[in-house]
Amino acid sequence: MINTKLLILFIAILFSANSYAKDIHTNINDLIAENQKGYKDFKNKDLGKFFKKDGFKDFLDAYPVTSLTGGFEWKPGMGREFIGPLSGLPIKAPFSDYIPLPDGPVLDPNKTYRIGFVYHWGFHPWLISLADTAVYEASLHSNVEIEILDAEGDDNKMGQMIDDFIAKKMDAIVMWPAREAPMGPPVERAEAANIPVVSLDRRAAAPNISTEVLGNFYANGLQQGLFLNHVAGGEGNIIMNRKPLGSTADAMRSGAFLEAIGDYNYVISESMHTNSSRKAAFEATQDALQAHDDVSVIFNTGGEEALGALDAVKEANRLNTAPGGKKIIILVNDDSKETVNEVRKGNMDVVVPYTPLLGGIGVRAALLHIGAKEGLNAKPPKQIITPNLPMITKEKMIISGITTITPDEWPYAYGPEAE
Amino acid sequence: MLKNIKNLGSNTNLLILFFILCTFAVFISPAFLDFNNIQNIIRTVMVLGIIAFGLTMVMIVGEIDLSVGSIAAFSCAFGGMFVDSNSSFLVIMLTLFAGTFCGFLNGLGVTFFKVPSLVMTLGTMAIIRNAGYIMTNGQAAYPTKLNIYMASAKGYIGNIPIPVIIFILLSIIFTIIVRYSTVGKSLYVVGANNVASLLSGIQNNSAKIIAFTLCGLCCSIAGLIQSARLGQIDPHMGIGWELTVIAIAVLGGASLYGGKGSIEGTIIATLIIGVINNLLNLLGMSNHSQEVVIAFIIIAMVLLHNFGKDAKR
Amino acid sequence: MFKLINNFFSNHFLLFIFFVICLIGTFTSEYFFTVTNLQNMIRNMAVPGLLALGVSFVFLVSRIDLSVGSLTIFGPILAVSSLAFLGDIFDFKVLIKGNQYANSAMYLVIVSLITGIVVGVLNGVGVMYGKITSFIMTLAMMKALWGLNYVLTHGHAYYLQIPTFTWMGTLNIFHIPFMTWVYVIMTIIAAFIMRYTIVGRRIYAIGGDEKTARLAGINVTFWIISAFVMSSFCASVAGLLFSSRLQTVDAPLAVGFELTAIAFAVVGGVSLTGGRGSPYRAFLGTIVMGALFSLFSMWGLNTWHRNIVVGIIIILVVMLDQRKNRFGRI
Repeated sequence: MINTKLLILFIAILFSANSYAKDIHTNINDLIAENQKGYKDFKNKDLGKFFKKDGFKDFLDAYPVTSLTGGFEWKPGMGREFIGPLSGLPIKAPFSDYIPLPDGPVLDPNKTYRIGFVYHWGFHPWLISLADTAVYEASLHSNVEIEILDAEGDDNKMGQMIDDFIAKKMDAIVMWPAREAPMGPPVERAEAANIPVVSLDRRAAAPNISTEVLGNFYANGLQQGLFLNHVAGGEGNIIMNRKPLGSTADAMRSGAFLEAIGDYNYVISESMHTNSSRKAAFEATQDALQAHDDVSVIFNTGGEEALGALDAVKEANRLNTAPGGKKIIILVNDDSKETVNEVRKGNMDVVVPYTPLLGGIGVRAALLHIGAKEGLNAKPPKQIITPNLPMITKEKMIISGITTITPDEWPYAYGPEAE
Repeated sequence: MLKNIKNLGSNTNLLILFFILCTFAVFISPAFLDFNNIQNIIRTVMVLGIIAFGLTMVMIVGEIDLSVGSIAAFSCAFGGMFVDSNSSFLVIMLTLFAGTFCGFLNGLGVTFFKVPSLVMTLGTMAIIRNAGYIMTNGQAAYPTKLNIYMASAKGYIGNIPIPVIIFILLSIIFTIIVRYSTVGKSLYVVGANNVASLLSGIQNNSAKIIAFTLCGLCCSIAGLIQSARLGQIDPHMGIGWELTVIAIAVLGGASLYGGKGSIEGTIIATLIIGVINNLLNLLGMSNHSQEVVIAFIIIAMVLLHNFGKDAKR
Repeated sequence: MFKLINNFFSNHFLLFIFFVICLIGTFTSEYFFTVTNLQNMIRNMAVPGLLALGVSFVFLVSRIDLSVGSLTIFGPILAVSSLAFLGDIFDFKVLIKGNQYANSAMYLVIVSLITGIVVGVLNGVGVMYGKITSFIMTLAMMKALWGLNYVLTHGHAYYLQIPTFTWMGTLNIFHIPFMTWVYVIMTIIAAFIMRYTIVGRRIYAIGGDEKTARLAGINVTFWIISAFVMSSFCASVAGLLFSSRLQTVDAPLAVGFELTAIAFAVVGGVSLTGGRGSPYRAFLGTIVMGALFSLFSMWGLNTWHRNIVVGIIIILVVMLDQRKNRFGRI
């Protein structure tokens, strides 16, 4: 009998070892594939109609769900630590070893390479961290100069800045486009002038772009949905704080979320676009709470929105006013130190990381493109997928085969310290 | 004296409009009259309302101030740099000082350097805000450990939220200043008749400087309460506030040509805008549709205002 | 002789500044005086320049127009969404793949221009017949158009990649961008109208002293409404060029353009209280600011520093201009 028990134990260990053997990235990709559906396939017809109305499918279909470049496997703990050159904050960047480039002078050591980096809203914690990693990467190579420009949310200005980079004959351009459509023509012009362009996180509508570094939007929305199914048992009244209508960031996350919850009995009470603004989310959530006294879930597509929503909930004393006296479940993406801390305190229920620490990958890809032009190395791929990151919860859980991470195990949170 | 009566007349119109709106609101959304909801309305709209007090004074004296949002952001950011000192008093004082100083600069530019206020404040709008960004590296500060600071938005005295008390106090203070003090009366004189008051040039200049300085102070107070409410001092706050606040002041009877307007009118106009915003949010209308509706409502109200005034004659 | 030179500099002070900036640029950056950069510089001036030109008409009659920013993209958005709507009813193809416009460029142009004229009339009527302050009227119009931009597009962008439309943004004639040609030609026409026709005489009269003009029998209402129409028309043209260059219309675009337009006009010397200024002045303001922006780009100046310098310059230029205290039509 003892032998049988030992045997069973042995087999159990074998199986659990297997479930760790499938890495996080592939695991989540498989879950994404499992949950993909058209609006007609939604068992909850109302959710299906909502899914159709905002046109999520176009974005979801166009998004690559593939394996990592070069067979890279990411595990928690990897990556470099440094002080952000722009923000002065300590950063641990998870993907420093992805598509690596050795420190020191790159490509032709006798030449100086100039990279133009253009983004928006350098006061936003997520975006300044993005720029931090880009500038840091450039600082590792003494013959690389980087020029940082902030277009302050004006797409036309970003287009003009790119035109200026072309006039200044920069060697490469790395960009963070707020919106896809208006950035198409300037990127095409840059590519036509033989300047490689790399986009980070969001996409630009330019078929000839050299490389797109893509974040894990799909994994965000999906994990928020899977978590919700796990803890809410398939029922709840949801209010949504979303990013700008028509942006990849909004459509991907909201769409993936709906795909995950689409077969269950949830009701969407409000869908609000609060556009990455803590203040807007605060006010909108406040009014939504006022209009609906049975809110049980708040879905947020960003950290700032979530923090604003949480403040509104606290000010109205509604944290535990879901039906049955339960806590309102707050779902978040964007692993800023603030939101991760809220998970630790038990105010937010799950934070799915969406790390801004991608800038380094973009700069490395840009340098490799320059190198490819000079015949020194092979071209990097056109689409660089970044590793899917597992969700962060207060206690360790296993949700649909994903082992969650606790706040203390996550060193990659960005932004200023929270107490 | 006659002017005061005329002002009261149009304020009565506004009050009537306000009550009609509220009645309308109660019918449309039952959640409206809820105590929490009313609190929320005041908490939300008071930030713009306090700035509107300052801006009303500037408009009475015949000028305009587009830099209000920037002053709010900068003054809070300035104070925010000292959050680690753990002294609410220090941070609050520095914030108010910074705002007052910016207002004073605006006043100087308009009076001594004779730059038209639209241009002056268009320039300072950019300068002040970006100075704030540079000072803080664009990063927000977090005053959550400063108890008194946070209490300005989150605290209660008895059952009444402190921000509401602050709003009521400021309303009373500014009403008294503008309507009954020498300074207040000189604002109207300077605003209504710029040529005649040029003869007493000192009064002209000092009235304008006082108006701008007080406006700057109002901006810093408003920004402070906003930051406390969100638990975050964001150097990016206040973008777009200037046009909304001007709309509130004009709705309240202020004229861009000067000499008209009152704090009472501004208070009512503030509440009207607050109620409209809240109502549209309770109805679940999207931000964008709301803008269209608010635009129509502003036009309708001003038309009613104008033709109501004419009818009285 | 000295007076002549003094006068020359006073009247064309800004032109002088423009050349000084270009000179500084040429000497401090190897990329400033290149074809690519100069083309960028003058092309970038076209849209804000047109807006400044339009706004200056309204300034001349002592009013203000804040709606020009939202109006810029409202025209093309209305055109696309209205045609898409008609296309659904009458069953002809307008949009492919959901948001790519694939129909007539002519329609875009005509609807945008007509929309501009209509909005201008509405602004004017509101101000003159509704007796609504122009600030409030055009502010409300700006908000309404901003909201409508989102409602009509459902927050999606429309791609306008038809070659019959995008040529406006990319064509160069004698190396000068088409957009700049449009801007300069419209400025010349406007200057001619203001200097040599009755339109100019009436508008200056009203701007100088509205009460007197009314007493003298001038149809003040008509001319002020016309000023608003001219402003909106310029904004529509700017909008067509803008969306052609970006090959997109998207609701969040063109935010804040009205303040830039006002800044350009004011720097050029167009007075806000009416009666002083001209299309030439708006042009001067535009080229000075345009050159400055190009200079900063070549220097790689950080955005925040750039904005501060721009703010300081706006104040300084107007301060210096006030000292000269010029009256009249230049």
